Amino acid sequence: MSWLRRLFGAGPRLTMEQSLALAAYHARPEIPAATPLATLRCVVVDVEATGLDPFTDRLISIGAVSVEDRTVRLGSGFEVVLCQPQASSRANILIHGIDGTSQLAGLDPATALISFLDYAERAPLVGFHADFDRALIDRAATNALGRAPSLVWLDLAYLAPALLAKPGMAVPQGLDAWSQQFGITNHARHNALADALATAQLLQVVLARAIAAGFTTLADLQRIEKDQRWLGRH
Amino acid sequence: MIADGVTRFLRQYPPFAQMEQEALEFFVAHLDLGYYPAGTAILDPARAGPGLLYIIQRGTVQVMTFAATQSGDAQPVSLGAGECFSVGALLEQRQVLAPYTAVTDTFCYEFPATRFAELLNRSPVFREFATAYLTAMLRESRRLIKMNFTSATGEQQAMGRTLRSLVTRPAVTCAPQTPVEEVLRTMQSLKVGSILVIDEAGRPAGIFTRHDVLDRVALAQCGLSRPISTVMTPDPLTLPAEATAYEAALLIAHRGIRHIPVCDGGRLIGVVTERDLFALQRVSVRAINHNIADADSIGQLQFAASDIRRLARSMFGQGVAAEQLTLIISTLNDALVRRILEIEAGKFPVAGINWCWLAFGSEGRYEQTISTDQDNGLIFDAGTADPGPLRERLLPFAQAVNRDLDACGFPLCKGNIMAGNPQWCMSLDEWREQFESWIADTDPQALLNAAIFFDFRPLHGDDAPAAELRRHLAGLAQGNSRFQRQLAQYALESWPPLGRISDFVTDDGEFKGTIDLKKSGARLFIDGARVLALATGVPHTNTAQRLRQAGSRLNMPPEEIASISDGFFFLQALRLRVQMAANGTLAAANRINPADLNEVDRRILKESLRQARKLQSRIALDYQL
Repeated sequence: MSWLRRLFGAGPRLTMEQSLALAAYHARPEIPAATPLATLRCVVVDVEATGLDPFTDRLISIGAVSVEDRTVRLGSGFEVVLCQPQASSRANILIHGIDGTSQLAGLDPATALISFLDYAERAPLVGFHADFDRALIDRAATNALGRAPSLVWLDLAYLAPALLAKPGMAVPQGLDAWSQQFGITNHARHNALADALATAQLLQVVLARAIAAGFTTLADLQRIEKDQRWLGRH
Repeated sequence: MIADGVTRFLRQYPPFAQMEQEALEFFVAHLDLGYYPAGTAILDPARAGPGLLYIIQRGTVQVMTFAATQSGDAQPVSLGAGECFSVGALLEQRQVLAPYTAVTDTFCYEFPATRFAELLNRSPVFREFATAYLTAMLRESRRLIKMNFTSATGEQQAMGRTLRSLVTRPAVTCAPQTPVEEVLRTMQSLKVGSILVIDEAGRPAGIFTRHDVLDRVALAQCGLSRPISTVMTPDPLTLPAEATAYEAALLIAHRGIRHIPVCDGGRLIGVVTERDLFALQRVSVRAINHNIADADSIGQLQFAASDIRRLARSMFGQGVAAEQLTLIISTLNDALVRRILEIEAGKFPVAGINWCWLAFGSEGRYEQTISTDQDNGLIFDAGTADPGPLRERLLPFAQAVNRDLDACGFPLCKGNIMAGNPQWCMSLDEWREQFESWIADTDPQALLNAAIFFDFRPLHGDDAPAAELRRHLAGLAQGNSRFQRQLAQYALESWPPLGRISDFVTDDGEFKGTIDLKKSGARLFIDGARVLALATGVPHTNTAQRLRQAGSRLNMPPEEIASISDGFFFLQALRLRVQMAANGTLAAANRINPADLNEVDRRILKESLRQARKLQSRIALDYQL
């Protein structure tokens, strides 16, 4: 077991299966930046947490759905609730609807996170305000698995305004406003999976527009996002 | 979780609203969600068949209806949330007929084509939905045939047009008391071939045409000051404004008239002439009729026979439906046969015999296509005398007629069912006995004979013995349930060449890959209709008439009767098309390779054959076969 310990450091204690699964995961090749957008597989993620502070609040659930060949694979939805040491506040429960019993009955965080990573493979993860999702997932993974997964993230909060904003019109703010503009319905807001589904549809629009505008690869999207972040700061 | 939302969405729309829960779960479990920005072609005829069934989640998709794509004024159909496409393409495993384009940003649920068959299997509700869709397609069939056959002539010359739309200028009219001289001046100055004489109420009282001038005015030396009413043709044949061009064509063919007054509520609104109807045709119904009537040699009649085929081709291209077209062909062929009979009767010592020429088979049913071999016979009244000597006098005459018909493009019957065969040249009593023995017999050949000969009609000569035979036969068959049952069994002997999966079952051997549109198609309807007609005492020989009249007596829903007739006529139309393309090579005259058909026709052919199956199932049920 020494080589495994060396690999992951003296982190949390994982079972043999968990360690092997994690090793297999990290052995996967990273997604090439030149992957064409038309066939790219993305995993759209939304998380629910005990609060809105990415540095102190805990991850409660992950919802994800994959977009492949620009099509939402509806049958491939992923949803997991992480076992909490204690239930979150009543006000928080009212937001996401995951009650105390469910929170306490969730999967142990290591298993939950490994199954999520297995689901995502090495596909780029996409979120709306993805920094929040990324921070929570990375912190939960560091705690439970010993290290944060190194994944490509795309944030629609930057990509959508960069690619979809219409000149002379107010830029929609937030997922709800963007959804409304494209008629995307969400039948269960603040359910991680339902929000991921709505985000996935926004991603479809973004991908279609990007391809129509002549962008072809994952790297193009990353560059657009980077530029937009820079714009946002200035 | 996702499935719940999708299910809730789909449940708002047919056929998902009615769909079995289990089938819907299966359906939803295999859905994806696609996005198509405005302007994207989702499906395109240029590409392979759709790999997916699309259900619009939101947005709008436009499709040019396949009928519209070929005419100038294409009317796009818009599809919105909850609508599916393209069911037809998936059912038939073909590419779509027209592009499906997102006109607004559109999201579609997508179901894989590879699971479509399983969906049909799992969900009777969806199956019904898909079938109803196909039936609607069949209704379009006539329009499609027209467009597929000839895009050049276009809709304008369609023989289905109403006479109202053909009347381009008001008729030239005069009052009954107008002097002949004034009428002639009017006709001369307006350069019209006819003038309508109308009464005070605007109703046509008579017609006077340029052809009448010679006979009734010039040669008769009638005074030019006399009122026109004394030389006009009184009470002319008229047609209502809503009658179609083909009805006018039929009237022209039957009566040999050139001008047909068109009336609306009894009042004259105009005149339709032969020229109006066939302005763009090289040969016209009346001209052929005229040539036939004037012919005094078989050589001339051969020309007329080829004119009939040319006319049929031209009218078919103009969109005349199979029912009307086969009727017109039969009518003209009748005239041809009559003329041959008249010519030959003058050469043989048959005067003084009450004979009648009988048409059997397709000719007997007024369903002649272009390549039709002969099926005929003779009936004569021998009274109490020995029919033998009369037959000896008639046979050389009949044989000459058979040869003439062959020369005119009606090949001799392979089964020798011809009037020149002593077996089918019989007295009324002999025919009676013959039918009685067929009906009493259980031998399959006897049954086959009864079926062929049952569709007889008198074509020329003395109608009385033929009418008497028909009366006798109706009583004989209607009272004989065993015979009816046997005939029903015979009608069920061949089945539509449809495979279990949804493909055609084609033949092997010489005609590998083809199906016989007559034997495995039209015949199924003809035999079925004959059974129904016999059971209900309908005297008609025409298949459509039999279906309509027997069907209504059997309380079949009118839509069902219409669907079955449509199926029959589509097969007839296909036969005509094949025969026109084959240009007289008889061997393959009824053969078609389904793979050679365009997608629309193939689909309609399939549905037509299903209609045959429906008719057969009804008969099987009625006779518990």
